[in-house]
Amino acid sequence: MAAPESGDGNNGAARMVTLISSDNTRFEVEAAAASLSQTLQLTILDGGGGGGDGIPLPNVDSATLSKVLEYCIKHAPAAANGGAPNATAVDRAELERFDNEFVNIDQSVLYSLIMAAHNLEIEGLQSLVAKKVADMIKGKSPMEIRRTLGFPDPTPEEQAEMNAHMLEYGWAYE
Amino acid sequence: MGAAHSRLLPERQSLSLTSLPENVLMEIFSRLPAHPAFLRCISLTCKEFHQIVVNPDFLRLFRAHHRDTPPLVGFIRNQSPRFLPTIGGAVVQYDPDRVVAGAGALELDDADWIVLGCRHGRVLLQCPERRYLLVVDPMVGRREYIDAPSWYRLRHSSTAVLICSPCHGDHGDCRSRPFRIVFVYFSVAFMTNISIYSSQTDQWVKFQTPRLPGPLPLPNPIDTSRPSILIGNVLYLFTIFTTVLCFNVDTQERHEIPQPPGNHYIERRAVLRVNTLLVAPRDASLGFLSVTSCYLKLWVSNFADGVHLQWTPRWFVSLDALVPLPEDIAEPTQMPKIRIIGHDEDGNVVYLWSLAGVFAIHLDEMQSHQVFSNYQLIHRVYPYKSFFLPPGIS
Repeated sequence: MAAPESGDGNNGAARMVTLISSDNTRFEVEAAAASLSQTLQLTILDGGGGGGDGIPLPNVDSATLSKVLEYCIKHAPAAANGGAPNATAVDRAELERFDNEFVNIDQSVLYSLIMAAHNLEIEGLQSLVAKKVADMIKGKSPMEIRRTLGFPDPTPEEQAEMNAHMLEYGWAYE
Repeated sequence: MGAAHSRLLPERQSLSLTSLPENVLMEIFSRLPAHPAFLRCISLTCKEFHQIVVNPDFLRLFRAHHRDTPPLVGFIRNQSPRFLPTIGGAVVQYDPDRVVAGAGALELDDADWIVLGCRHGRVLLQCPERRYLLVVDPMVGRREYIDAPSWYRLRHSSTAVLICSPCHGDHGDCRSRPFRIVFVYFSVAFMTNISIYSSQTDQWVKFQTPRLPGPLPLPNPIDTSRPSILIGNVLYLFTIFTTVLCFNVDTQERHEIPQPPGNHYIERRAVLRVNTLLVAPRDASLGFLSVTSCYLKLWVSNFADGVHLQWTPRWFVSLDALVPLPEDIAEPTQMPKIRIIGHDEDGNVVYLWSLAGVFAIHLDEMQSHQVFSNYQLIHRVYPYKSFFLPPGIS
């Protein structure tokens, strides 16, 4: 790790904040990690979330929140370094490995994650999940995309509509 | 936003891609590769997705994600098949069952029309008897026929160049904007004449050749068989002698500059004419590339106050560093064993044919990759680049 001290915060005593999920589970987490969320950052800068208060997150359930926080804790040190200009190649490779494994999960969890990342404005996580979902569908035919995403097979009407669209595209995509 | 929030609350298991709000879906789709085949598949998947990918806001976001640099979709050429689809910069077999694997086939009705060039998603063609020009946007199926200037005599050699109107930096949307055609021909007395068509006025304007005193009429006739290049608002065209004609398409000012020494067919046979090319290096105003069986050489023009002063050699690279050549290639002969067959002005990529196939040489990065493994692709190709454009978008 590039700077073990920075992970523990200044002077060894990191400021902690409490986040409360929609199903009332309390998560205590370092302010630096929670601040990856643009939304939470403002509240935290105002001194919120400390002590017994906690920040309620009515849109995020506990399972999703714990996953979101797992991401934030891992990425907080690099983010604190201002995008980690001095991060070593090893650090970057480790983060990349973490990211790849992190999104290797069920689709429904991915969608919950991207919604949470969107609502909490965690740019890196939004981008990571969006890229993952894009990778799942890229290179597939429309029917394969439907199957990958668990859509029902098209009704005859939908099929006819798709065929009509196909024709509209002219020569370029026959 | 309220609706989006409420979706998160109940059972997570029911969350599917279609239930995500539109801006999140846009975020996801904007991360697909730039090649239009990918968005086309999305648009055919279901009605909801279709609505998103035809949304101009989404298309802007998508282009921004890809730095407004459209990907290579294929090569247009004057032989059959007239369109060679590419994915990831390499020619792929067209396969109707695999929409993504094969980008499709160009089916121009005007099969005997001659492709003169492509720019920013549009293709310029000329009919064999040279009386008409045609501007096609194959992605949206738009075609516009234009009469050659009435003062043009068909027996005169001619070429034409498609340019945007006016010249501008951002080409993301320029295919829906007006265009111009610079029509160059030379008459008896070897006078080069230039006319410009504007799609806004649907009119040709003729620019008279200034008659200069002296024994030789200037400017020199341009070489209609060799590609020109547009840099900013100046069009550079090879003449049939040792000069380059510089024509400002906005002010119509024109003058000639010499070609770098030692590269001319007539002077010495060191470099065949087909293997010289005007290029636009990222960090120079104008470049001149020459290719032999052994090396690539780039000259750059030193400009001061818009006036060309001299050519400076920029680099000299052994060809085998970029293109794997068969052993028996030696001295240049009448039939080159390597030849320039295509040029992407905006990307500064030159396409070289060799017995080992066709290679793309990225001149700024000094990198190359194989585009096509078959040596039969020897004729000129016109790289066609475009983002996804849904039909009916104007």
